[in-house]
Amino acid sequence: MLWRFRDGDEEAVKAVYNRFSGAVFALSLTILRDRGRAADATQMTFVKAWRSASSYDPDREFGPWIYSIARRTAIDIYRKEKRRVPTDSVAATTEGASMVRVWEVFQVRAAVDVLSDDERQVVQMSHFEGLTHSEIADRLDIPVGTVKSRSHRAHRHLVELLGHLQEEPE
Amino acid sequence: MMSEDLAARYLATGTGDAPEGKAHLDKVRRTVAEQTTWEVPPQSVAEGVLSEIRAGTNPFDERTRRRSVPRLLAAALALGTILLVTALALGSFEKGTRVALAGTELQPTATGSAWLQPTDAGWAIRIDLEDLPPADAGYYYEGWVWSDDGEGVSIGTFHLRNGTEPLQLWAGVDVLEYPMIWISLQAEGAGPQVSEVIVMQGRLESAGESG
Repeated sequence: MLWRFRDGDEEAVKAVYNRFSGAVFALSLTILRDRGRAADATQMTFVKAWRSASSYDPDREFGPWIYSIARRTAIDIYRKEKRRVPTDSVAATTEGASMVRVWEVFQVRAAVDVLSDDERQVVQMSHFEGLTHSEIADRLDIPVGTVKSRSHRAHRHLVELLGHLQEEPE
Repeated sequence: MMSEDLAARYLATGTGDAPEGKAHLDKVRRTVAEQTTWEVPPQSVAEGVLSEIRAGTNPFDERTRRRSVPRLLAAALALGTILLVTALALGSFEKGTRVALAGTELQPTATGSAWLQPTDAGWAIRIDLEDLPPADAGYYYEGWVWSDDGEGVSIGTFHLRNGTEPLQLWAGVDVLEYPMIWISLQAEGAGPQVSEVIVMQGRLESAGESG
């Protein structure tokens, strides 16, 4: 897949993008705190990854590799804008995003994007929207028991993916 | 109950016994509750990635530059223009052709360069600008290529409010027939025609330099 990605094979590019664009965007947003700039950083990250794909070691995991590119790209944008507009509110608010936190966001989003649509929906409604199982059942018009089993399956899946948050890559 | 089930229950509810790693499960719980985690990039990002990769647009990228030589030869043959052939013979398209951009009396200190590169998808036009201020709210800049016959074609819009990173614009027409490059200041909602406010300009044949 990576060889095809490096050669600009459209299906491979789409596959890599679909797998990691959410995580890269969430990372960029955590650092830059602005959707427009995060979108720019996300696009630049994938184009940079494509350009440097020949240097990718297939024995390493792809996630940490593209994470490193994304983090560098977002920080570069942040630093350039901080130099240009030192009093900009973005510059003032971005300092708080620690790199550990950025890595957590990247990993969690990458894991969430591996879940099935049904599983991801329940996790989102439960944690982000704060809905109870009954409320989710009403919203989705499915039995509460289905929500509970789906929720357990989703969280079990997340534990397997994130049971040990890995150390941030160098 | 297996430890994974206990952990899953703790992750779902924040209650119960998590056999180990409770701290990192708390981090995951905190992260999935945040809006940032669920944000989706705009569709234009995917389109932009594919567009750049399809075109191999970076004129400064070694790989692209090497690959671009046959494309340029093909483009030169197809176009059959003396200018392009001459430029190729002189090696002037190694990094793309540079056109110097200068501010008009409306922005006299603004300077910049446009790098023109033929691709399979059209002409990639990278623009580097200095001292052109961000467009005010309600306004935007628009790039144009303009023919000597007075016909203009838009090559894209931008505002510079978030910095002056090199701009990537595109021309779907042959820039050799539209040798003038303009940047205009446009008012939102004022229609697609070029405004009277031309802030920068350059010309391919007179200002063309090679990089």
